[in-house]
Amino acid sequence: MKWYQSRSLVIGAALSALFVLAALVSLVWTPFNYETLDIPNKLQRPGSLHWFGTDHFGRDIFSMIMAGARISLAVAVLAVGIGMGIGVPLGLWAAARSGGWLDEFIMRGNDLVFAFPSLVIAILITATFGPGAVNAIIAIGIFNIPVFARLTRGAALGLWERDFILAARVASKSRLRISVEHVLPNITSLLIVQGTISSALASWPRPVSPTSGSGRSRRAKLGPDAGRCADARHPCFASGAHPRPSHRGDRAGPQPDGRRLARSDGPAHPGGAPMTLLAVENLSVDIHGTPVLRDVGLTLDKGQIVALTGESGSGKSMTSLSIMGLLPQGATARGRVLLEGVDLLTRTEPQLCALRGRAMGMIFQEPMTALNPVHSIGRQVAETIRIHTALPRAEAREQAAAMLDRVGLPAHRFALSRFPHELSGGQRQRVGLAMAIALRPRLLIADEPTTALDVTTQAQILDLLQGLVADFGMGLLLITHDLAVVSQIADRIVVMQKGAVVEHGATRALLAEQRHPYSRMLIGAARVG
Amino acid sequence: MNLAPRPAAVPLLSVTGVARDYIHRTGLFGRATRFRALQDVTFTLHRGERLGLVGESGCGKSTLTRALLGLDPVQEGSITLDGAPVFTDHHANTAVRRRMQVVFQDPYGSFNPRHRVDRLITEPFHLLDHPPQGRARAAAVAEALEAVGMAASDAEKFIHEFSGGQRQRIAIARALIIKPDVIVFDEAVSALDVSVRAQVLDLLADLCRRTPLSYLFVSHDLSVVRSVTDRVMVMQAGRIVEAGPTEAVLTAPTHPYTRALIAAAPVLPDPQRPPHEPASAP
Ligand SMILES: Nc1ncnc2c1ncn2[C@@H]1O[C@H](COP(=O)(O)OP(=O)(O)OP(=O)(O)O)[C@@H](O)[C@H]1O
Ligand SMILES: [Mg+2]
Repeated sequence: MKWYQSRSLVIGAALSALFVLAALVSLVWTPFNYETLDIPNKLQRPGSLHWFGTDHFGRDIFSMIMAGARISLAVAVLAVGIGMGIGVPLGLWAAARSGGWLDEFIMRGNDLVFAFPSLVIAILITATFGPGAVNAIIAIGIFNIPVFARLTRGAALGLWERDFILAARVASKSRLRISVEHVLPNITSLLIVQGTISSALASWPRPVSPTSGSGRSRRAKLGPDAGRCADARHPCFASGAHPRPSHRGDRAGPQPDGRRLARSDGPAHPGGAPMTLLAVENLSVDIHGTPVLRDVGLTLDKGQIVALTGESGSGKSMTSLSIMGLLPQGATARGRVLLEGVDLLTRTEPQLCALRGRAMGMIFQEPMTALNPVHSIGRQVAETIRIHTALPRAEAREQAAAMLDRVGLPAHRFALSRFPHELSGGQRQRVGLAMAIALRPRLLIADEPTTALDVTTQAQILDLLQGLVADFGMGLLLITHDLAVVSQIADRIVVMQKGAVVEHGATRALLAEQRHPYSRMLIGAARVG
Repeated sequence: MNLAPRPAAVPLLSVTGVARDYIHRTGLFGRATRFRALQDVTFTLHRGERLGLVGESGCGKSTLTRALLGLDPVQEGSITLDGAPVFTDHHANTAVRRRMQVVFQDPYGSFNPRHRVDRLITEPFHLLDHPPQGRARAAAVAEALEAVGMAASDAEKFIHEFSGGQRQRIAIARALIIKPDVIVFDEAVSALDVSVRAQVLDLLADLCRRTPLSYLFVSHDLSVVRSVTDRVMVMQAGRIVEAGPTEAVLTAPTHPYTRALIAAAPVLPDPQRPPHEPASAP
């Protein structure tokens, strides 16, 4: 898409341009002198002479707005400039020296500024240096420093754990150089967003009268609060692009009717109640006109484990993303995806969001993107639980500890206060798992959940998943290329190739018969492996 | 898989009595506890040898990798390459580091998404005093890419244009470009699916046949290690509990932990035999 095809961008750009233009023109020309009092003509209606009318003192409002734009703009640019200019380097530095005394010092200093009521600082500054636009700019600028420092540090910390930074370190590049070359370019989009928000807040449009106290204090108060919303620590950002896996709102522990469902020979149907949890029918997906899925169909009952298998690029992940309603831009889906009888393809995004909050969850393969580097593991798991339940803090923490224990990270060896970077690759993957299962969704989609795990740990995790399925009647869609894993726990197997289902059936039967040549090939490869 | 025969033993990388501690702190002023992640690790990687390291999640494999590469200091013992320490007074030893390279697990995380392949794989040139320029640089890039079965023209592309398997090839090209003496593979194929993994392992064997490589191949997967190493070490809770020729260790393990690891490997049920319940009941 070209930039001019985006309506919001065009409108935003036009408005901003108008604003800047007004500010620039006001330097040389305004319809009236905005400072000239003209009492006889006070409170005029908008008209051909005074376009926006006049105020109590007969000053031309349009002229005041033009001149005000100039000051707003200066405040915005300078205040954000101060915030970014000091905050971003501090944040980068703190992340590069993470855990060191410098990091600690910078972050505690930040907390101090954050904790200070913004109004108090604004008053302090104006009281000391007198009122004026310059002081307002300084006050707002100071508030922007911690906002930017925190945002930068949070985002940068995540990057420092990525392998490409490790590779750069192996190439003996200095921390400063890595920060500038690798970290900064990868967080610019985040900074631009925050910069826009901050400057919008700083340049609250107002007619010229830079000494009016109320306007300034209101802005100053807005600064840090709004900053907090855009802070990477906020839960809505912490989950990144991936919506948190969800759960159905029940409390910990088995349900009253927590019967173990018989699973080995197909689903049980106690009382003849319909047990179908998920039914995908004739699902076809195109991305920009290129077909990626063709007539995919599969069903998953409550308390059942279905494995979706095939080579990379066969459409496994696309199928799971369609179910979650997370298809990329430019994708169109046809067919039906029924979750408990409700067609997900016809749901709107907010409706899907609510479902993702209660009915279906997903475990992603890459553990580091699912975890927030600036929060301890205990806090992350507990917060995930709290977002979806009304559980009090202490109880959520207890439950988090229990969940981490179940994935093999007992609190006596892995304190809840550990950070993701203090864990091994496989341990991080298990924290992600703990987060997903803590919510106990009715449908859990697990995309290659055990790739980073050795066989013994993997066996433990598969056991755990099997237990959840049996105890809570959860439906598990397991996406994996590892047929050996599949053969251990899946009730049914669906084999995909080139965007279509080529074979499906009960695990044992499918492995024994191998009707489709592609399945034979996959199974052969697994046996040799 | 068919690796080239192993040349005579000349010690290259020597690790003696290495211990590595992590400090775990609870909260800002909380109690600090010392956790020993590596304990008395001793082994030698000989020139031209392909050494494997296996062990369960969290046993210290990546910690050892980082220590070998001089990314972290060790608390006890020494790590030397041809007699020179990898880490001297608070800094990695650049003279040694330019002789070592690494390939990481995550094909999606090991490249800066904003750079072209050309720039990505020449990053190790930073280690050289006189990195090749202009024509020579382009030739080096083309050679490295072709060595891993990619086209020289791929240098112009961005990393998102490649699949996981191709990315791991590019990662290997990046490791090969300064012709290091030792390459460390940390779970380099774990994220790849069976057939792509087989291709990358084939590539490795192929590279070994052309030029003798010395590497340490870290993995949690025994079957992977079996196909690309001559000798293997088994690690448990930061200690090396068993070491020996790969085939011997995998077919006749002596340590109970190795046996447990081999026994836990999931296998496809034999269709000939009558079905039985999976042995993983809780
Ligand atoms: N930065 C750190 N601070 C504190 N503890 C750490 C740190 N990094 C790793 N650990 C701990 O050290 C132990 C060894 O971790 P390491 O990353 O070496 O494991 P690994 O063998 O690579 O495991 P995996 O196969 O899961 O990647 C783990 O128990 C881990 O929790
Ligand atoms: Mg590791």
